Amino acid sequence: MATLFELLATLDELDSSGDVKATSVRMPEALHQAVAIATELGMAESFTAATNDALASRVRAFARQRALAAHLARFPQDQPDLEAVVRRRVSGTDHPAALHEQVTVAAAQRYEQRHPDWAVSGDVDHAVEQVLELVEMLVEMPVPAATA
Amino acid sequence: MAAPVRHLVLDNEAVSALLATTSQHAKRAQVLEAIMSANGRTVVPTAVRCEALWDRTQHVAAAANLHVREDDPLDPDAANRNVQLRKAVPAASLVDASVVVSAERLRDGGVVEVLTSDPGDIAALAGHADVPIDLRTL
Repeated sequence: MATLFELLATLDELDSSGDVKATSVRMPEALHQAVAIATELGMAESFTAATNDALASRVRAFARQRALAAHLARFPQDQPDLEAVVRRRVSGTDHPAALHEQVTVAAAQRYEQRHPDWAVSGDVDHAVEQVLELVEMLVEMPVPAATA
Repeated sequence: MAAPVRHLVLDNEAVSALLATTSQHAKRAQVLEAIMSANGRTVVPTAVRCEALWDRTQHVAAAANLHVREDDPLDPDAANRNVQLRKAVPAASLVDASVVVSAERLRDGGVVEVLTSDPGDIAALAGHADVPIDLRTL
């Protein structure tokens, strides 16, 4: 059975090896066309490069997710609060979450209550992105006019 | 709005914490928070690995190997930059300067965090770096 260590070692080879292997993939026709158009518009050097970049990015994200899950399975006491991770992610940026700390903390706590397994699943980046989207939405909402 | 990108460079104490195998370790928990927060690249300078005795081939390194795959080597360009920084901050060590050189190499518009237990000399080096560094203390 494949292991996380094999996956990580293979990803390391990806960075250093120029070997290529031809493969055929069945994909929705519309997706095929969309990638071709996006490539023409400058998204990537070629259809192959676009496909490889997307796949590599997906596999790396999965490996990170599994690595974090494995760590927390072994050392559950190491789990941080989501609000701390979110605030650190945006620190030094001009993202609204960096400028509205109270909103960010509240959004992170709300997400954490609804998804208590956000960390042990390892899908930390998804959790952070969800909180950041919620903060963006909240700070951009118009303030209701005061009623007489 | 574009998603924030955060890179991470680990110094000696952070690496040592990551190599710890005790069930509870406050500094290792802080390092994990930093790793979770970094959605860009997480690197360790090879000089730091030497100082922290991190041999990737040893079983004890398994947990650390999971999270930090990328070594930043002390190659000729890095050596030149290391010397320039150490001349600017004579009290700084080779390892301290390696951390700042690695931070400079990560510049791509994202925020670069350096996680260290000894911020004094690195803060002085960061003042000479050509990239803003978010210095965090363990």
